[in-house]
Amino acid sequence: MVERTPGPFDYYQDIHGGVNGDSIRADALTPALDAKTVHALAGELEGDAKRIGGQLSGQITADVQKNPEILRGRARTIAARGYYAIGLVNMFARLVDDFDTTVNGINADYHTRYHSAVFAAQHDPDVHSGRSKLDTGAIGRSIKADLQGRYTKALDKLDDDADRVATLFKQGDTNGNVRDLIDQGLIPLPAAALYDGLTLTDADRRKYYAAVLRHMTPAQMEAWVHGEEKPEPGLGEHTWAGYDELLSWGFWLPDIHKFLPDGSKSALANATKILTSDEFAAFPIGLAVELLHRYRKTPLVLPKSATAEQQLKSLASLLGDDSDPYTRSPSGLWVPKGSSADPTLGQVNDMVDHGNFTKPGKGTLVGDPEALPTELPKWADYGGKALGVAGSGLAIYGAGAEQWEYDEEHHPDWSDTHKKVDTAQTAAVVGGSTAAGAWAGAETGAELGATVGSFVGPEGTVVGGVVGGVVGGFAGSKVGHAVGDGLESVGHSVGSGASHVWHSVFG
Amino acid sequence: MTSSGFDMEVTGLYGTGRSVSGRSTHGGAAARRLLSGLDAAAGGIGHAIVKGALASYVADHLLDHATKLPSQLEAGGHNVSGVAATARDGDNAGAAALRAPIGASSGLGDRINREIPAS
Repeated sequence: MVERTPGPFDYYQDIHGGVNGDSIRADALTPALDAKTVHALAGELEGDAKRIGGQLSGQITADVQKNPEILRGRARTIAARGYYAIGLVNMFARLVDDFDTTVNGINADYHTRYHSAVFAAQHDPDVHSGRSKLDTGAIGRSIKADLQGRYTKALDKLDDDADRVATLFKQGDTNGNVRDLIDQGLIPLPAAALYDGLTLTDADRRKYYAAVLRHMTPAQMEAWVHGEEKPEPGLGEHTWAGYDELLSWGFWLPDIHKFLPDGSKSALANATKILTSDEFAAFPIGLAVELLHRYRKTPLVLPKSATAEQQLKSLASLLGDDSDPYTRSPSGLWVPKGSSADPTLGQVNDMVDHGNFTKPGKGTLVGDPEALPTELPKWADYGGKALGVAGSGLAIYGAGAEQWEYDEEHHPDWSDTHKKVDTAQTAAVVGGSTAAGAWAGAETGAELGATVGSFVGPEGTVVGGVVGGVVGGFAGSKVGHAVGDGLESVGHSVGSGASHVWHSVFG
Repeated sequence: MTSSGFDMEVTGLYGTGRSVSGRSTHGGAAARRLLSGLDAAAGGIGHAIVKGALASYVADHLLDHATKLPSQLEAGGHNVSGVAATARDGDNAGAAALRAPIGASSGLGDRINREIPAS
């Protein structure tokens, strides 16, 4: 689904009378069905030729068989060329989607810049006092002119794409062109047999499946996995048996029905079945692991820029000067260094409050999961449930603070960096274990908690702490609607257990 | 039935010929619909360059094949069943010997074993 934010820059449908990627694909559906019918006809005619061979013998046989064989060739040619044309039509539909996506970005930028510029202008003293008039039209025109280059570039690319598709039409269904379309999932795999001399490799087939899966909606994927007929997107009811082939290659596809309870089993058995399923591991735990890898929450004040680091070092050197344990307050009193009355500490606090420093106890997620625990390369704001899940680090914070103090006492030789790494790593593991204990103590009981701890393996203690929260959040999410239903149907054991853990950890 | 040049299961062969002709109904019609569907798709694609390229491709590479297929299915099926019918009429030897391209129409014998032009 392509998002089209209204704006001054035209989408494809604005330029071409309501045509968009979806309508182009819709137009290609019926021809795709007809190509499939003609393809099937070729198979039927092949059967006819064979039947004639069984009904006739002697010198006349080959001549009579030529009738269906020639017709079979015709049908194959029509089907092959039909699939090729449909593949190119669907290719162009994707390129139209790309164009609209680019334009959507430009229009979204326009709005962001427009609102920002209008806001700034409204606070201009002259405008604010009424001496100048706010000209929003001029602001809009100025921003549009500034963005026009990007839009023109998008239009040029669309024209280039159209030229490329037109060239492919002119070149015709060469084996190279057909292979490319198959690799992009634009010609159904079974149709490859229609093109003489075309031999697909395993790599082609993998590319094909990957492309088809990438363009499936969740509903299409579910129909594909569970349906008797496996529809292929953009190709009508054309069916294919790729699911089994994918499985044979070690691909794994989620079966969300694994989350549903089995009425013949106890609530605990159902819960265990769900929690130990690959699907559970892939969704909630996979999510938890991913979040934990990205999660950063430190008890330390860490500079987020080189400038801030210099400021901190400068102030810290004053605090760290042990030659005189006292310092003078603004009122002239001598106060202990590092105490709450120490003015240098006040400067540090002010700097932390207003500068580029991490806030102790405030969890966040970083963009790069491979970043060192102490690295905070790119701060990202995650709202809603995602931040809530990351918030399981409430326990992590406490553990981290203790580790920092322990290291200071027992490893005075360690550099701050070394201590930061140790603290962050310890916080993640110990904090996770603490939260896992909360899970084990939930309504579901120790047995279920033990299950959680045992099946997730080495990372179990880390992940376990987040599981409860993830289940709670996941069950309520749109994606996890089926999961939520499943868990609720199991009984209140898991659902309320998750809720208990969620609230015990997140408040 | 056995004759000097070949053996034939007349009823089966006749039925096969009828099946081939019958495929014109759904297969041949599908080929025609494919043409009209692609024509409609060209009309709804928007960009003139792609529209023109698709229309040309259909005209150059599909039109002739898809237009002729229905009638060729009927003719090819009739050829096959005609062989059986002729043999059933006792004209086995003639059936084995006669060959004529589609389009020729000079009597029963000419319907036997006619070949569809290869291109």
